[in-house]
Amino acid sequence: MSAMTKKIFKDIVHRKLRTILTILGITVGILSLSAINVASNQFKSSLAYSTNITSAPDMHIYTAPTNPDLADVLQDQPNVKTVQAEGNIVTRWAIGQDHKLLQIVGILDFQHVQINRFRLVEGSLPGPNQIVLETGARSYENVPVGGHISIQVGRAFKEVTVSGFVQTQGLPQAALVGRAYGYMAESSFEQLFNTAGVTDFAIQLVDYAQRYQTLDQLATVLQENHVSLVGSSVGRDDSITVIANGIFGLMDLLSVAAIALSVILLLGTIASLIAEQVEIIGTMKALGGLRGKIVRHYLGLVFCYALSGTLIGVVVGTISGYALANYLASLVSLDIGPLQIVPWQILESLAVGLGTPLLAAFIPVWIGTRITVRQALQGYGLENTASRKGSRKGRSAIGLLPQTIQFGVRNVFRKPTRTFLALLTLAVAGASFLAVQTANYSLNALLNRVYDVYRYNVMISLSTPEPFSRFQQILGPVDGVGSIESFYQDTASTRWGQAALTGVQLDTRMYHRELTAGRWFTASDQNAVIISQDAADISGLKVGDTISFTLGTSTARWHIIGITRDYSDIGAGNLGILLAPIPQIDAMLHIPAGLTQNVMIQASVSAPSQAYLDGLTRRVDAALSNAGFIPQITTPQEQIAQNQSKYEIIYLMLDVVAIIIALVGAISLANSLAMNVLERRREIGILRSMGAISRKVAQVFWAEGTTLGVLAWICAVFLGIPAAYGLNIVQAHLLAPVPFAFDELDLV
Amino acid sequence: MASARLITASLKTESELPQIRVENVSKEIGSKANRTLILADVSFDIPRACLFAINGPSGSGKSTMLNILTGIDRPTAGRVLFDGEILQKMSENRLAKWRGKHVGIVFQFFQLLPTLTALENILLALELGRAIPRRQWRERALECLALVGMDHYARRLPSELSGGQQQRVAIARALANDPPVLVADEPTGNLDSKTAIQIFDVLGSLTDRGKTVVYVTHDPVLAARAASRIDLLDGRVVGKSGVFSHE
Repeated sequence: MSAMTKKIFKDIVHRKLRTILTILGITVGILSLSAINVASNQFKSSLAYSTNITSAPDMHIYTAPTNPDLADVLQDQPNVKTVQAEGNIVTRWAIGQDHKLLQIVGILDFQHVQINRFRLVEGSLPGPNQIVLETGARSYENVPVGGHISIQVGRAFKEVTVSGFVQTQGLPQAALVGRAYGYMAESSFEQLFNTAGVTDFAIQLVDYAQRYQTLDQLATVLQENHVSLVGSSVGRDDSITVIANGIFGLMDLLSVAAIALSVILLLGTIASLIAEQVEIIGTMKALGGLRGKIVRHYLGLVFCYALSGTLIGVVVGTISGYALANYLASLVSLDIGPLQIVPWQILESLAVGLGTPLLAAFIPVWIGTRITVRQALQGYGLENTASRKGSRKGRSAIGLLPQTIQFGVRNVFRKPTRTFLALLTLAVAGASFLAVQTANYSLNALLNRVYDVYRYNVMISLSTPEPFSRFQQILGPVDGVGSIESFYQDTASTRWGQAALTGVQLDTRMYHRELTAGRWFTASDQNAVIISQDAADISGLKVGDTISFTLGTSTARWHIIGITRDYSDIGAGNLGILLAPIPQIDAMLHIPAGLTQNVMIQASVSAPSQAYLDGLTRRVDAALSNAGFIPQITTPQEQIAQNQSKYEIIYLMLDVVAIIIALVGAISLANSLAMNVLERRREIGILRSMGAISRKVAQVFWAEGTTLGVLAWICAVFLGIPAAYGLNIVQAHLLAPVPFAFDELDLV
Repeated sequence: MASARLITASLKTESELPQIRVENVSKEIGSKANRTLILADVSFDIPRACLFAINGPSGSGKSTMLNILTGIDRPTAGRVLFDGEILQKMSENRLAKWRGKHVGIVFQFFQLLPTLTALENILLALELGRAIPRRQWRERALECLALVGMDHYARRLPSELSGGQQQRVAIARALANDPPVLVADEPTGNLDSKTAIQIFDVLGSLTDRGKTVVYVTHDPVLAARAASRIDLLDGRVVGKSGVFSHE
């Protein structure tokens, strides 16, 4: 091994702290890139696989109980690929003092499930009076095979035996979606719930683009066969894919920041190394060393740092990425399978890990080796280049501070390049952290703002419409119930994406009007709609324009009379809110007047406490259950929590990456300060010779570190607020448009 | 007679031609408003295989003169001919290459690479100078160490050696590529008197091997040991002895 090569390894070993910090910085950057790549690839490919395996439907048609043979008739229709007839009911599962929603599907033939396929993972398929639950139901209660669960049937609760557990790939855990799933034999289902026939036709199409036309066609077929169409649900549920893309997209962005910081860390290290070895460079030149050879020598050192950091980063990142994918998969009943090593991802990590440090280090190495022999050899000992830069005002501004503090503060500006690099690293780290915190804060602010518009205390939903007068009759006498209003919301399709068609009473007091243009409804309005500000921004529509939309088999074209602030329908690909009076919606959908599936309740007291609301919820639930209903009851707080939990995972991931970025920033600062101490040992010696105790010497470096930290914080704030705004915009494209909201406390 | 002298002059052998010729070298530093004259119109010759001293007090310009002789610094005026080659015409890279083959430098503060052993420091010089074939490097390095009496310390780091031992290793390093000239800037400046004499003896012995050794010193005792010398004061030559002069 040549002397120059030996010098590389000895330089690596000689300054162990610098070596560890530098390799650690590169490792962290490459680790984040590798982990995100592996997790993304593993998760998305498993999700895609599961989508194929599961065979999700393109639409559901809900009917009154009918003969399952109708499935054959529907299957014969153009563009229909597969039809599966099922029973389908949403009931309640009693767990302790609480109830959770349980959706039960009645299966005609467990051996020939073609749509929403699942696999048995524990126990056996259900027999009479038995149910098999999705594994995700265990997030509610860990029921053993052979155990019993209590489910609401009419006004009573009945026990059924859990025969086993199944897994539908891609189905989120019950706690995430707010309901559990289970399957019974259709015969047991009909016997238990006293229905005569199937009520749900799950359908797969040949051409998905023709889904609405096909729905119209099938509705006609049902009519011809004297089967009542109760409702329909059109479209595939790709929310998991959207959220997964969003998560990984954002994490990719932040991993770029992590790598950039790693490179800046390396730049600082190399600049320090070159500064430290100025004399050695001069000696090598005096011995006949050519600049090119010396440059190659130091790039060789960089290569060693980069190789070590990259190899560790790739290995640890791959393992971490697989663990991350497993964690995310556990939330949606996905089977990730064994780790898949994708060659191009490894190559990408290697290229980035080796290439970017070498490219970045070339500049300081080239500049540093430019020094002449004379300059290099004159540079030993104390720095004797007293800088005349810096204003007198600046000097006098710190003149009141103790000398050691002044010394430390001035030292920050002694090496402008190193200071700049350290500031840049810390500023980028701080800005990334601020951006992630702001994104999280913006979402929470949005969720709270939703319920500034919808001012109910309790929301009740039923699976089938009931007369509103019946609700008034049952709930009116309940203690704590102030006012009751009917409410409607369902998903409509527009040319700009899905919209939430929302119905309120004309005289509503629970829907708070925040009109930004136009006017509210009057009794004489016909086919009038108020759209949300988001809808107006996306579509470009304004007051006076018309908007067309489809819901089920009905199509409408309404004129816009107003624009309002309403953030309740956030989501990628969502247009926003279309608000209309309930009677107008009923007329459009041919629903008899006076029926409603949803009811909003305001408490009779103003500003009720959580305990009061909990009691009110229980009383409302008891009243409706006693009347034979199976209500889904939620409060705004529960809905906020459920929405937060959906995005919690996203922000948890982003927080992890932000912490990684902050870690690289901290490593960079530690590296910079360590270099400062190492380089200035003679200064430390002189300070000690003048009588400085350790605390006084340390004060110099504390002052320097604190000054650097304060300057970095200022830079981070200037960088961070635009970065937060930028991340908000990216988030809007990848996940959901969220109005920008900033919490000043995040600056702390 | 004039023609005979001319013929005789033209018939001088290579060994009689100076190793180094300094012609009217001046060096100024500072801004246009504040110029400082370090060297003023210095001219002298350095014979071959000679122990040559550049003597003078602090600030006399002797280190600057030495740097100009080795190409580390460039004069403001004048030129240096090294075996007939004009150093000022070379680029930085070419100078470095030239130095590796023609000059061995011994620094006042040794300038050994702290992370390399004594042997490795010499191997480094061989690697950078490229004057000796690669397969001979190790043998050459051990030879140089033996020459200065440091062959038993080959695997020691500089931090494990005394000042005198480090300077010996530095001399060995300077000899590695077998340059015709060694220059030493205050080679004994950091050493005690006893060690200084030992080092000086080593340097002096090199002339027996045909090396020209040029050293800078402010010590008149050490200066007196030179076969030839110039005395500098405030950048000017105030004394010469035993030198060829082309003036």
